[in-house]
Amino acid sequence: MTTVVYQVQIPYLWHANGGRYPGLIVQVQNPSYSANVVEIVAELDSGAEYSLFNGKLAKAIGLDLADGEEFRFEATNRSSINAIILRAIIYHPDLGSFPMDLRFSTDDIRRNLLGRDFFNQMQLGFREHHMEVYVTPVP
Amino acid sequence: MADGSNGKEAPTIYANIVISKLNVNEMTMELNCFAKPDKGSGQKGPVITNVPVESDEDVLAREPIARVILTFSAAQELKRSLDLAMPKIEQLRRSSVRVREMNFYRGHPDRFAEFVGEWVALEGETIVAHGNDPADVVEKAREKGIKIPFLLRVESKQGKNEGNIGL
Repeated sequence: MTTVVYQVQIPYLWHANGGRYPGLIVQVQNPSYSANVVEIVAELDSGAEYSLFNGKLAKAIGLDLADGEEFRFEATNRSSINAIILRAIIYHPDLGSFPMDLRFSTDDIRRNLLGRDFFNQMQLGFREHHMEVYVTPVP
Repeated sequence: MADGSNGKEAPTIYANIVISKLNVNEMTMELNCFAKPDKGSGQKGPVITNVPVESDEDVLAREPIARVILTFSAAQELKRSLDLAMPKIEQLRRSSVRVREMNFYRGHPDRFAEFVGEWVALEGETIVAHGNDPADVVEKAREKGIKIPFLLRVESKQGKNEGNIGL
């Protein structure tokens, strides 16, 4: 049995309607110009193979969707979401900086998702009953 | 001296100043409170406003609101438990990024009702910009001097038989 000692304890975030969900408030930075940065809410989604952000956020940090490679997510209901892969940096004050090939949607999506490509860079534990996420920022 | 054995409920005292005196037998802690409690702590306590700035001499001259005397071994245990707990608590406090904004968002749905589906840039308890295009919202926020705008997509209210799934 492997025992993991987590270093960071983060409470679930609140939806406006009162529900709670595992999420992080992270900065999304333009890798070429660190002043081009926004801070956003992203849900932790172990069902997402890759992290997916609203494509309009790419423009907000000075990235151009025309510069990236196309990508397609298949959802559980067989519908799909098209995205563009662009390099960006995810930063969290407790966890550090993560240069990642983020998927930015070409359609308007309601939520930003941190998926398994983000999980791959750390150890995460969910304690749903206590509404807390536990993180150690090493794989 | 009160010894806590009179059967009455112990008084709760809010303090943000402690003057500690340690000798070979015991530690004396004199407690005082010179400012309102941290609003983010969620604790109930006295609300004191317009607290004047006091000099160190004034602080030391004031009578404490409570005095606690610990035996040396109790003081050792206090130190041990603080050493153990403080790093974790400090970590937790650092993790509480944008707490004020998220509390405002959660606690004032009426203020966001007109922005459902839009992006808003929040700074503290102020909506500094809003719109359908986050790039425009970011630009407006930066024009107002916000270096790192915090963006939220305002959600519509869900019914009791509705929920979220990732994709």
